[in-house]
Amino acid sequence: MSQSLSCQIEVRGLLDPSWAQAFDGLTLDPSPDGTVLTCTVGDQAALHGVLALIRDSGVPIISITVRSPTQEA
Amino acid sequence: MVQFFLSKASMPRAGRLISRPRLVRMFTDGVDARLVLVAAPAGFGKTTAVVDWLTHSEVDRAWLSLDADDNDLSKFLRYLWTAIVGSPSLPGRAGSGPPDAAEAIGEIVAVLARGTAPAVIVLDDFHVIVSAQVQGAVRLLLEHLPDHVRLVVVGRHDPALPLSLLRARAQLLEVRADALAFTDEETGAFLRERMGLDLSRADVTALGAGTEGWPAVLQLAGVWLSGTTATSARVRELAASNRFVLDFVSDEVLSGLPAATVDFLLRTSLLERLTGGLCDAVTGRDDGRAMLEYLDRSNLLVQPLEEGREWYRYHRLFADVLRARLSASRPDELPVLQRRAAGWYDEHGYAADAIEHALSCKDWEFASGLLAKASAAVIHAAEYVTLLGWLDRLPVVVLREDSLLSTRYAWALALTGRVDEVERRLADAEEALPRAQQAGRPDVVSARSQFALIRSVVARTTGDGAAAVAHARDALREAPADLAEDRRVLLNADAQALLGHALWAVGDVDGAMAAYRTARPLLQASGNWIGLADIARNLARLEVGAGRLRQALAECHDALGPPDHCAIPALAPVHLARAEVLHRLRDPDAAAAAELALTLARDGGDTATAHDARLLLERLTREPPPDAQHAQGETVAPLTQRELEVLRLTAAGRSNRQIATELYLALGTVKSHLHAIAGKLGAANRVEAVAIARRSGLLP
Repeated sequence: MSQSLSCQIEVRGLLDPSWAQAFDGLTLDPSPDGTVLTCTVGDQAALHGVLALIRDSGVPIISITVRSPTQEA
Repeated sequence: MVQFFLSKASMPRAGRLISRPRLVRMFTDGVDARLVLVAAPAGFGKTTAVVDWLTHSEVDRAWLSLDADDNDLSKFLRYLWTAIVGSPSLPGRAGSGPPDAAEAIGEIVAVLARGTAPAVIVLDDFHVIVSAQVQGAVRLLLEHLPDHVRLVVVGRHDPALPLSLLRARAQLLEVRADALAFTDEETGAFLRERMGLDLSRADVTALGAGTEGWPAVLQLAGVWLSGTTATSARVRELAASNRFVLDFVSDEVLSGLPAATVDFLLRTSLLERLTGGLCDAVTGRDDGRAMLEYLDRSNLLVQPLEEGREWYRYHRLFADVLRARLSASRPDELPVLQRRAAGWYDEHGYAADAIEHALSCKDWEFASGLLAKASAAVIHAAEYVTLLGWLDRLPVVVLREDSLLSTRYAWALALTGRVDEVERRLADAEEALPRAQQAGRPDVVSARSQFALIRSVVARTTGDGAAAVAHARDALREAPADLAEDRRVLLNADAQALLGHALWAVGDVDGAMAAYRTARPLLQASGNWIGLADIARNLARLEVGAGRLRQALAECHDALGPPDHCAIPALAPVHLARAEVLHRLRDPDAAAAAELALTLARDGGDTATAHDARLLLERLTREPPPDAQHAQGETVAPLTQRELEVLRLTAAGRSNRQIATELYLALGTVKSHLHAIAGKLGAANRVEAVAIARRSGLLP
């Protein structure tokens, strides 16, 4: 597996906690504007899988941040 | 309606990339995985890798190339059936509502469970599936897949399937971008063997780093590099560029081509599939075929779709680049090109492609004409969602002005159960009718009867039986006197069948039977086997309900008609009805009739009938005819029904595993039944048990 990516996606509105089950290791935290979804994915295809899930649900995205662990250090 | 039906449900040709044993090994080593996930961005050679693996492998395979249309659940299930069972699936029954995914997947699993040899089902381009219903159907398939079958999902991103669960159970094989990317060794081999380029090791490494091993980009880079002797300089140029690598190489490739070739590429980029005549129609030139052959020969920009090299397509990534360039540099030209493409598709009988392109270029008059021509066939094929999607792309005013299209819209709504919206469309159709009649349009002659038929369907759906009867009678009464004979037959057949359904719903059994009997020869004459099967099955049920079993049997035989009609898959429900009647008559032919119903239903992809036929067959196996029960009574240590079944299958040479599959038992249960049988018969093994059973009359 190539270098993993940590991604944070902020969406508008409070999401139901059941969303956490929809994708591997997805965590949900409330934010002032809505909900922050945090997950670590293996590669770009997995990242796009998360984005597709959000797209299909129709939740508006406010911001997306993707980092590889080396950049975080 | 779908002209590329077979190529959609068959594996694409092996590409001209190099063979990659490293990847083939990865696939074959993962034999225990239930799900093989091939996920990577466009141009990573995902499909090629799977084709490469399967051409090197002995496993049975079913291949389905998905596109956006497959978000229509009924369409997806039909194609899946075709890919797995190998026979085209019949359209769903009109008005039967949305398909039952659990039932359809159950029947697909039952078909798969008949085999034992390793098999794979490939769903290519799965990322186009956004419908939760279709995703749910695939999850269901994955959950119930027999042990010898693996599902291969290929797409640009991770699918909404329970990946973590499968990963935890070590039932997931993942082939991702990092595995699919060309290694330096593969890059070198590819450039040497396919492009005739012999690069230094340092250049190969630099190229690999610059493209990150992205196969489609390497192909384009290869085209660019083969146009020069100064390859090292170009490699350094690529490696030093900070532009997105795909933009960089496609710019370089296009700028190195003659202007006429670039013009051809841009103008044909809107075509999903390319053939000489279609290219000529779109470009206004006459070198389409020669140009495709030149592109095919000289580099890797097009891929032939079949051996005959009539049809090609651009690599998707390259087509995306060309389309973006076309709309940026010549925005006004796109609708003109689309209109020309639509014209060619229409002339050559590709109705769906013609409609797509006519709608895209917003030529509403042409699109309406095409839809008027094609929509009856689309409704007949039960592709209501597709039709509604097309009609919704017409501007409201265009749709409302067209009486025929508003009527077809109402039909599609009524048959998909969206009954609340029907009246509004019928009001539009009625308002626009006088204009259409004045214009002398032949397709609106029986419009008033059509309105009444639609209203009858709606009334039946909403449970208003009396209104359903009245509307069906209106449809018969409104039929114009000067209607052409073939149209009269079609109209009366539909109206009498609907009248029969409506009368049955209000409890008028004699009236329903009379209407059905009037409809039967009309349906036979117009070759509407699906409609015929519906009313014949209903007639048989009504006769059974009245206690007239012999008459019920005769109804089935009348509908089946001459022997050559017996094998029509659409008539499977009649065979099933016949089997049910024979079963009631304790006729030993019941099993054969049920077997035939099951085979035909499977041939036609009629999963509802297949489901019922399979259940009936199981019941028949559990309750054998009276003489078998009699024989059982004579044995000293009586066998149970189940043991008798296991013994019979053993005598027929089935393995324990096959018996388990056929009787829906666990393997261990079959073994314990065999043990008990041997004990009761005093036999040392299965061969002796069969011999003793035959001597004592337990088995024939």
